[in-house]
Amino acid sequence: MKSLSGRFSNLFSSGQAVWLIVAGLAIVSIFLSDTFLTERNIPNLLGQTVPLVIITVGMFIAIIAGQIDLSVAALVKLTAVLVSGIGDGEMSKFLPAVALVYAIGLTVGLINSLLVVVFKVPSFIATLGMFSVLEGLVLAYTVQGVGSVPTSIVDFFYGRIGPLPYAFIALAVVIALVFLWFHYSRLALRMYAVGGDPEVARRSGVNSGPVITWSLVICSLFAVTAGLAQVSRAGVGAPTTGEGLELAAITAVIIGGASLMGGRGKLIGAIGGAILLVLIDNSLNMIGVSQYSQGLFRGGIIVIAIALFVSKRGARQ
Amino acid sequence: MQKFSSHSNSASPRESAEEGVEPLLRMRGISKAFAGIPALRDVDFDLYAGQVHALLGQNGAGKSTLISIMSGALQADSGVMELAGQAVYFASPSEALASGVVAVYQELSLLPDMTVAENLFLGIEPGRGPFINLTQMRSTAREILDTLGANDIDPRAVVGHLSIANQQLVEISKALTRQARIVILDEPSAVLGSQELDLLYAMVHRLTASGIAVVYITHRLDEVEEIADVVTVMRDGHKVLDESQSTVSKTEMISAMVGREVLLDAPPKWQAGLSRPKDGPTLVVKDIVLPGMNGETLNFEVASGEIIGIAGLTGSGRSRVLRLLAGLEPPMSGTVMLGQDVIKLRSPRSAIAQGIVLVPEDRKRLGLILNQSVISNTVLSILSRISRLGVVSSSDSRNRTQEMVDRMSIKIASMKQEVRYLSGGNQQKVVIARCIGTNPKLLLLDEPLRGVDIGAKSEIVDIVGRIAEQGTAVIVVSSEIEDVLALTNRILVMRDGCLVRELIGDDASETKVLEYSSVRQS
Repeated sequence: MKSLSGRFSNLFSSGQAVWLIVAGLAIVSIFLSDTFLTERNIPNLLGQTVPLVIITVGMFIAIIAGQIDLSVAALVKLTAVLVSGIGDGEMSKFLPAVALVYAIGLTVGLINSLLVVVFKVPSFIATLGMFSVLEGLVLAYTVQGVGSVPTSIVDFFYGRIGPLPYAFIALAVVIALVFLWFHYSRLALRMYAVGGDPEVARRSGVNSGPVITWSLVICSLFAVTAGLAQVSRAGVGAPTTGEGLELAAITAVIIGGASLMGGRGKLIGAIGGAILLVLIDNSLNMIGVSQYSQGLFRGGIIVIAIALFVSKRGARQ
Repeated sequence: MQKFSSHSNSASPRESAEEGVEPLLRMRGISKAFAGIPALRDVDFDLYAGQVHALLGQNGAGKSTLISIMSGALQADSGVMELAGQAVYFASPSEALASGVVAVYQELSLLPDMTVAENLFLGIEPGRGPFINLTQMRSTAREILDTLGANDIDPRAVVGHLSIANQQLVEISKALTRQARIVILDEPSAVLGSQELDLLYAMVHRLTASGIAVVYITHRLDEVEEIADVVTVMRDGHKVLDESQSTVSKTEMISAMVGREVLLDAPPKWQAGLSRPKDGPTLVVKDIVLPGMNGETLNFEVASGEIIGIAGLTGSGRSRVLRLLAGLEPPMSGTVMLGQDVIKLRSPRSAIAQGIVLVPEDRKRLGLILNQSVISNTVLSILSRISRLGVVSSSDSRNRTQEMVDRMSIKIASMKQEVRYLSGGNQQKVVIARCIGTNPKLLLLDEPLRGVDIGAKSEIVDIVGRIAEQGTAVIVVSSEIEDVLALTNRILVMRDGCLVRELIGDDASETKVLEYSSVRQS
């Protein structure tokens, strides 16, 4: 016989519960707010989800492989100021800048994994250090908003078919590909194994080094992509772009039912978690909750969701 | 094909050797020492294809070291290994794996959150480039499970949802997916019930029928008779017996495991019949059933001032009796009385309040707070007694600790020293000091002498003896029969959750204990 909370938490670990919360909150918002379900708000809301969902997918991959990446928000920032500053509104400079930030993202991912795999630094520490370095680079480059993103790019981000922004459609395509990759890829299977139990993986003949390296590099590349999305939405890059995104992404992965210890979790849940976080902010605004008390509601929803999950872990032992 | 036939009439290894059949694995002169203490001394070991080779011996006899070397988890200091006539050296488990040597340990190496098929093919996934061929992976998994008779296991099932027996099947299937030629089973039966045991036997027969050599470690001699073709017994790092199973009796196996006339340096600390129990409450355990074991009811008494031992194999329930009395696991039914009081076993806290304390098996994890001082660890259980208004009296705790340190001659640099810097024996004394600080009526000792050097051993034996003399009842559990015999000559032997025998006085010998704990009595 299963308890109610047991049932709920099974939904939770399969990544479904968070979608129920998303649906519930959306319904509540529709009834409580006149402005929530409007032609203005819905595309805006969908566009807002793009950067966080992208960065969450990357974080999810790192967490599944038993790592954590605290450098992602700083990488978003660096991406934003560089493409905006170097590009300075011109497509001919913007595209090389994009190539540059992807090269930087690759380097950051490789350095993170070098520290973790070769020097055995826990990823928490290694990426915390990388976070500081990247923040320093951003501030060395600029202390304020700099340059701009070409208008055609911004227009693309805001352009839409019906209520769906192009950026959101592009995101949906990318996510579909990631899903296929998770289902069929050798690497994804090994990430779950290395994150679940490195010793078992080793005894089964899986070398954890390349697996961890891939997970951290992919995470960094997704962070760069999230940075491009963020700066395209804003039109201009600033040292405040992407502030706090790393914690939001980790929160999204966890309320999506994944284990912070690695090896356990569903991508669908993590994406739901990211959408929930964006929806909470949007709904609280639309319902008219004061800016100052929003943190209370946001935190409350997250803590309750996680408490339900944790109670199941305890019951199983 | 005589050697593939049923075990009972298969050729002995000697005969096979005479017929010119080469062993699949030949180990010669294998020695291994840990920190200068030899664990294996010049051991030869031959393993033949299609045979089940039982490996017996008491704890510390060298079985684990031998299989670890076979499977690449450890490397021999000297000696050579040949696999199918080729000299081999395994620097790691994955090298042994690549040569077809697979060890299946008690703690299974499966990922509980992944499916059966994913576990089977982890690291060797079929497919092209970066992609897995899921259809092929599942159908091959199905075939392999079927060859082992595991028809009811779905390759898509999540491993963590399977029973322990089925997980073990998956683990062995995993060996098969890796083209195993040698499968080492480390006490596979310890976690299985009797129906599951039949499944295990059937599966082992399927393995040998396909020409795989099986090394089978067990403590249960019935199983050896049931399944093994060859028996090797280890003792103190030596191979002491190596025979065809059909020519060796259980008695011979037991005497090979014990080996010597049991020479105890001293008579047990407490002797039934000689020492008279003190006046004080007697522990009466009545009709207790251990949770999760299909055993009969347990009944026994321990008088005040008496020391008794409980012996049995791992999984026999010996430690669970202690856990139950310490309030860590509730009993299914029955009552426990201490003198006139019925003891309510709800939690360790209530057990301590009623005068029962446990010195746990794993002192580093469960017995001590390693990075705290000797003082903190000693007074941890009596904080409320030495504090006023919630403030712990530091002079009281220092005096209490000093008293214990003197009484037990605990060797410390200072009372503020962190306990992790103490030797095993002194750590154990600190745990005992904390436990007797509560003035218990019943002291439970789980593996009290494990990881303790020989000098500290005899000191701890003395300490326990003195505690009993002051009227505390003591129950000691250990996998080392010698350790129990150093403390008492009244021993309860357990098997499969039941008390099978009480051995008193001269009957309480290593041989007798082994016999009753490892052989099913008809």
